[in-house]
Amino acid sequence: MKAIDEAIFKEKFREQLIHANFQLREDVRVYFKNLRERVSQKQQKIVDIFIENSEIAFREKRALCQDTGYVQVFVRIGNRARIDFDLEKAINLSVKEVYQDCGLRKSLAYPLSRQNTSGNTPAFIDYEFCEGENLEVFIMLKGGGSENATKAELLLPTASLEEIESWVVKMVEKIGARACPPYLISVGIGGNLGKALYYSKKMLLEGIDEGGMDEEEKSLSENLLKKINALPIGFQGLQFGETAMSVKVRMIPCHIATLPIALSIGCNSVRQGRFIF
Amino acid sequence: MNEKAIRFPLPNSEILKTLKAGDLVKLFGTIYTARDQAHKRLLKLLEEGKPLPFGIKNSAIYYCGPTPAREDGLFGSAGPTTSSRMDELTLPLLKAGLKAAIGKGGRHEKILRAFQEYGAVYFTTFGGAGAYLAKKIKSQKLIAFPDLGAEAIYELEVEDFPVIAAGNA
Repeated sequence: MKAIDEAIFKEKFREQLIHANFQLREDVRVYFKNLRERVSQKQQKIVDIFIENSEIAFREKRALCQDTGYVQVFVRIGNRARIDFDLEKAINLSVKEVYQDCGLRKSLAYPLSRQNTSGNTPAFIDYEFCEGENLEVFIMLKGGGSENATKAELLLPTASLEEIESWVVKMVEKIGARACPPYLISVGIGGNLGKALYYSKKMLLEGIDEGGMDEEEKSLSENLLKKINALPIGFQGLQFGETAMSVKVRMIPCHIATLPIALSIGCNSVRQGRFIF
Repeated sequence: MNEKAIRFPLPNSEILKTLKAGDLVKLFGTIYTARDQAHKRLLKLLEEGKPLPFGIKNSAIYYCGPTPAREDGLFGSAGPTTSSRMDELTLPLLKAGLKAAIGKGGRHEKILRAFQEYGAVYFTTFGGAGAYLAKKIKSQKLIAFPDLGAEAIYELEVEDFPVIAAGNA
């Protein structure tokens, strides 16, 4: 058994949460740098605003985006990891401290009164259990703009591949530029609606060029990327560059009567952190 | 894509008529933040015939909920939020004299037409560039609805604040 120390856990969690708010994901930064080399001078000026934004955020410890999001946490717990403290409490306390100490926006409110919870809590936590002695933590800050772009549907089990593709493309068309393109897009297909959503969200953690998809998923993702990038949206809706930096697809088995599908969008300021204990 | 400079509040709305969709514009002067909940309250004040907390004639509203002020009294990050959420709340403000709104993303066609009818312009700015945009804000003052926190109305002095005209006035 490996004992997970509460104080060290909190320290690592805080560190990654701060990192996520101030530092752009490296693959997105590289994407911006490459994009500026293949667009017009006028478009370059706009891409440069985003490169400068990431530099200012890092240098001056300013949030990359004022919408510092809700905190989504994916925890993978090894069967030989021993946690003898209240993990959820530790996470929520750390979130509260970091959002207060680092001058981040507290964006969570009760659904009807819209009264702010005042600590950007609760964090939304999902657990997976696995073999091993490690505790793996993935943090994702999800802004309201991209969250409002989440789509889910129960298609007919007889839907063709073309119908599945056209549902995704239609949804992205509908979202347009309102969730801050260029996007990271991920599609969960199968399971039940909850599982489809879960995987669509979790796959946003994957790097633009990161593998991990099987042949069927890869082929669908390539087709979708082509079709989505043919839409007249583009960088910030300005019809240059790409609408999507990547499309990830995850398929899991589903009931014979169903075909759940879920689409999650990561904005250009996708903010993430991870650590292994 | 011509670059123009506009100062708010406008002396009159003539200058907006020179803008074309796609123009990159630098904003100067005074603008006001207001997003979802503040819009609801502004509309209620208008309905009740009560005065608004700022002069709406020839003014610009910025759909923005900034991060808290830092030691220098300025926001750390202050980019735009999604404009389409304010679509159903915009017409009464245009009627009251609002001449510009700044946000991100597309809007319902009928709202874009309304902007045109009232000689106003919808500007987009850069979603995801909050740290960069915050540095274009030279001062800020809380002027209404402090209980709304980040959603309160702030009066901002901006300089060189980059926007793109989303339609013709």
